[in-house]
Parts: sequence; structure tokens; C-alpha cells
Amino acid sequence: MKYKNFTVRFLSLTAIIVMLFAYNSIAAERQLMVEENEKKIAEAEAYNESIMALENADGAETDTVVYEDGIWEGTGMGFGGDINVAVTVTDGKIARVEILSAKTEDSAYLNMAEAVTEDIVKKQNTEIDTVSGATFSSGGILEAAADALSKAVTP
Amino acid sequence: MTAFQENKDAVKQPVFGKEGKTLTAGQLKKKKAAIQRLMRAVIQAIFFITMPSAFVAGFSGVKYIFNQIGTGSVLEVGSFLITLIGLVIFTILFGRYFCGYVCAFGTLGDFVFWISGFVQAKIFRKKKQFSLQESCFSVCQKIKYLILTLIVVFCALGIYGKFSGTSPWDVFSMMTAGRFNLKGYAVGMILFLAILVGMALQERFFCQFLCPMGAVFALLPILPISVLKRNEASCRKGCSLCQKKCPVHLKLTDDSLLSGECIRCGKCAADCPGENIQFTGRLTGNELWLVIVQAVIFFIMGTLLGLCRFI
Repeated sequence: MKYKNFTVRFLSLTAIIVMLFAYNSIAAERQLMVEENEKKIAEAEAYNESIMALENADGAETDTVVYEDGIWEGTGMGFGGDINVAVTVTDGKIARVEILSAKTEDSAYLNMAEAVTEDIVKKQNTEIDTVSGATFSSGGILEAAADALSKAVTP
Repeated sequence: MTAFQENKDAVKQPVFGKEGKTLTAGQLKKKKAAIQRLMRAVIQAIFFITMPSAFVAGFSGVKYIFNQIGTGSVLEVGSFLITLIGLVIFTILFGRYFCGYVCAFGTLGDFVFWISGFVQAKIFRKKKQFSLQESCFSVCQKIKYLILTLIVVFCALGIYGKFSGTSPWDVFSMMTAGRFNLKGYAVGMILFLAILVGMALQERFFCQFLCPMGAVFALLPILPISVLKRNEASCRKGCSLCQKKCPVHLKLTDDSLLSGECIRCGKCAADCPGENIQFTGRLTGNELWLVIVQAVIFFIMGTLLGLCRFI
């Protein structure tokens, strides 16, 4: 066969891509189930907290940090230089983390690092793992967000 | 036909050297080869300055896939994965042009080897540049597949993170970004220096022996029209200039040119006295316009992928 070398490689690559797609659909289903499970756990915990709040009606101090409402800016050190973020706090909770400037970061890396902004809102703190492969950029965003939140803490 | 008309047909276009004399075919060939070498150096320099982290971003895509599979997570189409797909498609279409013209690490290796040759010739007065043993090559060129396998297995097992600070690639990537505070990267620094020594002793040392991204490229189904071929029937007896020039030590047989090792540097085609190295369709293996077109295509693709430092 004239193009044996090419055909073998091409078929192998196609097989690998097909397997990755198959894997991905299974992983997506699994993720859906995990998220539903987490939702149920969160609902149960919220219910528990509301019961506890009723019992502690005398206003005892809770562990969670309370942030002052507003938009807070902070700076952190990325891969090549400074990253500036703006953290929006609504009703005492972190509502949004926005990157104001990251001029020194290569956009391919920044694109991957931006995932931590959603994690911060989900976890309501900046104790988040950095993104593998974009360690410095994501670390810089986390540092900047922490810097912003340090200004938002009610003394 | 008069002698004048015969002569006119022999040389495609009259080229004039100094003092208005026409150049011989041999001198023409040397001039063309020099232009090709210069064009390659210019393209390598441009990509070195504008897209030095392209190779790292691409390989991060490979690591990302295995990291996600290791934790059973979904593969999301982020910039690393898209960059990898872009590099793979480009390589399938054009061969390992990325390695020969774009990759900053490859360019660094070429530069170091050139300087080393210069130093050896002018300062140590050596006639021939130091080079590794013949028998070494086919074995050593397999090492990069082992390195690729180890890295992806570690990613899948979730333990690759433990090796943070050991990658000489990361060290180089940081230096090109102007970041010289390399705390925690001692092992990476040492490996990087060792690789620089290797690069000085053997052309494309890292690329052919150690590069895991190169290993990925070498496994791809490169389109047959983009694979170089040598027209062995037209070769002069006893000439092995292409083999001598080839940085990755190819024998330039049909088999070796299909092995995936060819990094498309074009040195074989540039210096072949018979223009025997070609693509299908009788394009010589180092057509200047083709080299420039591929550079432009990659530059556009790289910019769209967010790899360009200035756009």
C-alpha cells in the first residue's frame, strides 16, 4: 500500500480522538451527577444553618468573615508583572471577581487562569488551588483578590 | 539555436554579481542557499521575539488532557487545548515546520550550536565541529518518547505537580518573559544549563533526544504531500551532503523521511547540488515562498490563539 505509514498513523489518531470524545461524554454525565449531589448537600446545610440561626437568635458571632458591600480593587504578582482585579461584594458575600488589567500575561495563559475567578465566588474565599500550567497567572489573580478583600473586611 | 539562445535557456534568469558579470550555476546555488539560511534565521528570530512560549502552551494542552483524565474530569476546550489542536493540525498539514522555524527552544539550540561552532573554529581552531557518535543517534532519538510517556503518566496519576520546579522549559519560558526570580527552580536551572551544554555539542540536541512535544509531533500523520522525498536516481555518486547537513541525522531515505524526525529546517534542500530534495509536485524542499507562506499562516494562527506577546 502506497501510503501505509500515513494511513496507520491517521487511523491511530482518529481512534484516539474518538476515545477522547467517548471519555468526555461519560465524564460530563458524571459531573452532572456530582453537581446534583452537591446541590442537595448545600440545601441540607442551608436548612441546618437556618435552624441554628433561630437557636442563636441572641446574635452570637459566626465563623464566616463578613465583607463590606462595594467594589474593592487589589493587586497581585502574575507571571510577568502586576494583575489588577475588582471584587464586588453584595450583601456581605463575594458576588463577582473581575480582572481589570493583566497586560504582562500571555493571553493563552490568562484564559486558563481566569477559571479561579469563578472558584472564588463559589468558595467565598481565595484559598483555591492554582491552575496547573498557568500557576503564576492564576496565583497572581488569587493574590490580587485577597488584596482586594483585605480592604473589604469589617474591622 | 545559436549559442546565445542555448545559454539563455540554461540559466532561468540572468543574475549579475559584482562588476556586472553573470554568476555560474554553482555560485547562483550558493547565493540561493545563503538567502534561504538568512530567511530561516530571520523567521526564527521573529517567532522567538513574538511567540516564545508557544511550545509550552501546546504541551500544557497535552498535560491538561492527562490531568483531567486522571481525575475523571471533563475536558474543557480552554486555550491550552485549542493551542495543542492548532499545533497538531498545522503539523499534519505542513510537517514539523514548527520545530524548524517557530519553536523558541529550537531557535535557542540553533543559536547556541552556531556560537559553539564559531568558538571552536576561531578560538580553538578546530577544523570540524564536535559531534556525537554515529551509533548513538537512533537509540537516543527514542528517549523523547520515554520522557513523553513518563510525563503523561505522572499527569494521569496526579503526581506531576510534585515535579514543579524541575522543568527546564519553564525556566526558559520565565527568562523570556523577563522573570529572573527563579526561586524554587534550582533543579530546572541545572537541567537547563546541562541542556545548553548539550546544545553546544550537538545540533538540535534537545529537539531530537529530549523534547516531549517533538515526540508528539513525530507520531502525527503528516500529509504525504508535505513529506520530503529524495530523488535518489539523480544523486551524484558518493555525495552525501544532505546527510551531513541534516541536524537530526536522517539518511534521507523514504523510510527515514517518514519517521517523523524531520524538523523541516530545509538544510538538505538548500545545499543539494542537484536539487534532489522535493515535495510531491516538484516543489523543491526549501522553496522560499512556501517557507514565508507557512510563517505567515502560523503567525496568524498563533495570534488568534493568544500566543503573540505583542498583540
